[in-house]
Order: sequence, then C-alpha cells, then structure tokens
Amino acid sequence: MVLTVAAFGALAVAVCVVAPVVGSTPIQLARVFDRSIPFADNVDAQIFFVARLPRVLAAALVGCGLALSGVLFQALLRNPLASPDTLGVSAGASLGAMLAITLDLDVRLFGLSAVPLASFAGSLGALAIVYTLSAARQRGTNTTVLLLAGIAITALLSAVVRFVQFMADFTETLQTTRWLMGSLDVPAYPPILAALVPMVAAMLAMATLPRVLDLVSVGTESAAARGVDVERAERVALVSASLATGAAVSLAGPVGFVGIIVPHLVRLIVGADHRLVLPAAGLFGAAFLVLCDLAARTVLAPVELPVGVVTAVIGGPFFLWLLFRHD
Amino acid sequence: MLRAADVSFDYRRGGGAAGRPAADRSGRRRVLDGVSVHVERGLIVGLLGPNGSGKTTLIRLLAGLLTPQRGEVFVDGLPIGGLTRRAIARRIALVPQDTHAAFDFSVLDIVLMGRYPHLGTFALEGADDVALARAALAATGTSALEHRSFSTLSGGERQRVVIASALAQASDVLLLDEPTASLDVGYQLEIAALLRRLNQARGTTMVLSTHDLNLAAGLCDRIVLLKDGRVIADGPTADTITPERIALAYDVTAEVQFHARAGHLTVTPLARCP
Repeated sequence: MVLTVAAFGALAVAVCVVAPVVGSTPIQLARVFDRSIPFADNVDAQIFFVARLPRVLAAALVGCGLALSGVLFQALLRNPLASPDTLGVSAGASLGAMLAITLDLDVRLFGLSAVPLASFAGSLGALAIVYTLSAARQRGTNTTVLLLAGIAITALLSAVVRFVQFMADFTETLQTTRWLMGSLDVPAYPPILAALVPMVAAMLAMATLPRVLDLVSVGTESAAARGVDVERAERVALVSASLATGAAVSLAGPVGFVGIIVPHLVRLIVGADHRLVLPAAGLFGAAFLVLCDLAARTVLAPVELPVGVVTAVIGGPFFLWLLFRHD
Repeated sequence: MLRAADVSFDYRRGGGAAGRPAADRSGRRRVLDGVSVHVERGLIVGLLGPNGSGKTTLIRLLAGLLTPQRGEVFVDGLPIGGLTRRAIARRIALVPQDTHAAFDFSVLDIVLMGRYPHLGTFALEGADDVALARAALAATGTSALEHRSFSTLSGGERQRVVIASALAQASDVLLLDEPTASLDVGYQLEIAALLRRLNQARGTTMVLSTHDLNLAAGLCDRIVLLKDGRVIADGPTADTITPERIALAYDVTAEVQFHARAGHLTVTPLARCP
C-alpha cells in the first residue's frame, strides 16, 4: 500500500522536474542546478524557475485538487459520472471567480484573497443548490436527479458567466476568455500560494475520509449500520471537495474532465480501496495535468494552448468510453 | 437484549435519519404507533405484516438508524439514542435487502468493512481482522469467493457475503431486512439454512422482516405480526401463524398445516378475503 502511493509520488515529482526542462527554448537540467553560476547569469535557471516552474506547480496543484474532488463526489454519490464538472461545482466556482475578477473585489478572510474566496463560495453555493433541488424532488438524495440538476445548473451558471463577460470591460475579455477555457498561464508564485492554503486545508479534511468512502460507496444505510456518521462524513466530503475545486478553479479556470479521467484510471490501476485511491488520484492528477499542459505548450509551439482544450480532447472520448464500456 | 419500548415514528414529522434511507418511495403514510418488541438472546424473531405495516421502519429503529418521536429502543439495557454510531455497530449489525457496490471491491474487502466499528479512523485492518473475516467467510460457505469481485456474484452469493460481513462485525444481534426478497427459491432455501445454522452453531440472535410466511414458519422462534404500524400478534411461531391471524393481518384466507417433511408449519394462501 505504502509502496504504491510512493510510486505515484515519484511519478508526480519526476514529471514536475522534467516538465519545466521541455519547451520552446531548450535548457539543460544540469545547468539549472549548477550552483557555480550566479542566478542572474544562469539563463537556464531563470527559464526553469521563473518562466516555467510556476506554471508546472500550478498545473500540479490544480490537477491534484480536481482529481481529489472527483474521487470524493463519485464515492459519495455512488456514481462513476459524478465530478466537479457534472455537478455544477466547477461552473459555480467559475462564476464566483469571474465576478471577483471583473468587479475587482478586494476582500480578505483567513489570509485568502478575493478570487479563491469567491471561487469557493461559488462552488459551495452551486453544490448547495443542486443538492437542495434533488432532495426536494424526492426524500433523500437521488443521484440521477443530482447529476441532471448539476447539468442544468452548469448551463444556467455558464450563461451568467457569459453575461458577466459580455458586460465587462472589453480589455478584460481576452484574459477572461483564456481563463474560462482553463488556462495555466500563471506568471508568478503568489497566486499558487493563495490556492495552496485552501487546498491543504481540504486535503487535511479528506485524510479522515478514505475508509468512510469505501463504506458509503456500498450503501449509505449499511455504512451507517457499520458505525459511520454518514451525514457528518457527507458534510466534510462535500465542503472539502468544494474547497479543493474552488482553489483549483481560482488558479486555472474550469479545467474540464480531470475529475473524471484521473479517478477512473487510478481505480483501474490500484483497485477500489479509497485508502489507496485517494492519495494515488491526488498525485496522478498532478502528474496528469502537468503532462497535459506540457502538450498544450508544445504541440503548436510557440503558440500556447489553454490546457482546458487538451483535457477536453482527451476527456470527451474517455467519458464516452466510460459510458459504453460495460455494454 | 434488544427492546423497543412503545416506539412511534412518522417520516412526515421528520424523524432523524442516519444514513438517509430511501424512505417511503410509495409516498404512502408509513408510521409506527406505540410498538413494543422484546428480542431475547439466541432467538430468531420474525417481523411479518403486509406492505406498509412498518416492518422496515421497525428494523431501522432497532438498528438505531432512525430516532423514534416517542418511546425508546434499548440495547443491552442502554438507550440506543445515547450510544455513538460505532458503539451501536459493535452491538447490532444490519443486512439490507440488497447490496450493490459502486466500485470493484473484492469479497474479502466487503467482509473487512464489517471491522469498521472496531478500528480507529486511521487504522488499517490487522491480521486479527483478516482472520475474523476469513472465519466469517467460512461460516457462510463463501471462502472460495474470497478473491472474486463482489459485483460479479449472483444475488444469493452476494447476500451470503453481506451476511459474512455482518458476522465480521462481531455484534450480538443480526437485523435482516427482507433477506430473501430479491432471491429465487433456491437461494431462499440456501439463505434460510445458513441463518438457521448460524443461530444454532453460534447462538446469533436475529430479527428478520419478511413477506415469506413459509420462510418465517420454518425459521423463526417467535413472530411479531404488524399491521398499520401496530403489533397485532406477538408470540411463538405456532401460536402466531394461524389462519385467523393471517386473515387479520393480510386480509387473506389461508390454510395452515404442519408439513412432516418440511418439519414446520406451511401456509397456503387461498383467496383475498371478501
């Protein structure tokens, strides 16, 4: 168990070290870490640490957050198609972040700046709406209704996002358009640190959940009869998944499909036990998005595609495969 | 050892639910009204009654999954409302009507989940837990399935594995909610034989709800007959499974005979009462 997680960890670290080496300007890893050259004269080190590493770390953080959220939603709803995208959580986070950006909000709370805060509020708000809707239609929560409500809310929130974008200052449009496609054009370290705080908080909460997710995925009633406080576990899982999604979206926009692809690939490799799935998905999600972004940077170089385009190109067919593989 | 004292429950009045059961799909009024049941150690108690009589609700109340609006459920003399979910689970295990795993768990994984109430939040199952799980598999005749994927099992195999998981929970009481309802007659007999064997070999106390009068007649030491949320009969099986009582509960005329080869009473329903 420890070995498997360590292997995924090694993969994530290796990808994060190698990815910044690759790009339109070739650099050498040996030169990057050559301490004898002063940083000011070491062009390779400057490209590595200033131009490329922030982007790679942002990709790792976003990929990790979205993959973890996906695992949580799928286990909690006992549905392989649940993810931050399909439940409207990403759309809610986008709207929150979008409003914070266009209205130039200046709020701080618990050391968090406006964009991650608004993003978290948006994701939690969207989830609350979707949950209330599906609970109102039938006693208890019905996962099919939940997913359909998620799709409806996604459509509605996306319309609001476009409206806000349309009404916004023309000069901001290009930036927000790129952001809404899911872009890792992160120029510096501070936004990464701002997203890291809620992400770490979410991960600490998630660390208490793996066994509970195993039991809940076999049935909420039998989980409760085996000693799980299901309502409390649901609350912790939904809030931490929203927090992670909010942090990811505030950094990179609504990068699609990561929350679906990664948990499923990881389950194919390590099985169903969430004590393995959860850490492995976080690490694999990080590596996955870094690689996707590497493709986004290099496929049409020097043009840099938004990473959301790459994940969608992989994710669409994957989603269909998931739907049809049992037939 | 497990006792419901004058409990009343009404879903519409928002009784607290743990595990959020898919309640009242029929949308009908489903209540319990002043029900008292006493389950003695070592007995198999059957809950019988027509649809909507409150069998499943009573099972949920006995499992501590629902909180009664009036009355109280006691386990080992302790009010169940004062116990944590884990403490309840160490005393009472539940076998639902049907179990589906959302992911690809092995049979051993499913049985090990029964160890949850005995382990800390971050603890992994140790050799003891695996040994207990294997013993539970052996007791239910499912040792050969240990490494199979739970989702690929037949209904009868799945139910036996879920019973093994409940045994691994090492509780005193086993609650079974219509354990044979989704099984064909072969598997029904198999599960009935398994429950009887577990009761005799291990002295496991059981409460099971069922629609199958013949299963109850062959298996249960005592029958509690429910109708419209009230107990209309409670006593030894031979005194409870009678044509009069069946007519009262189900509005059905039926013949009850002792079947020598089966070794128990058998019920032949004849017609709906006019």
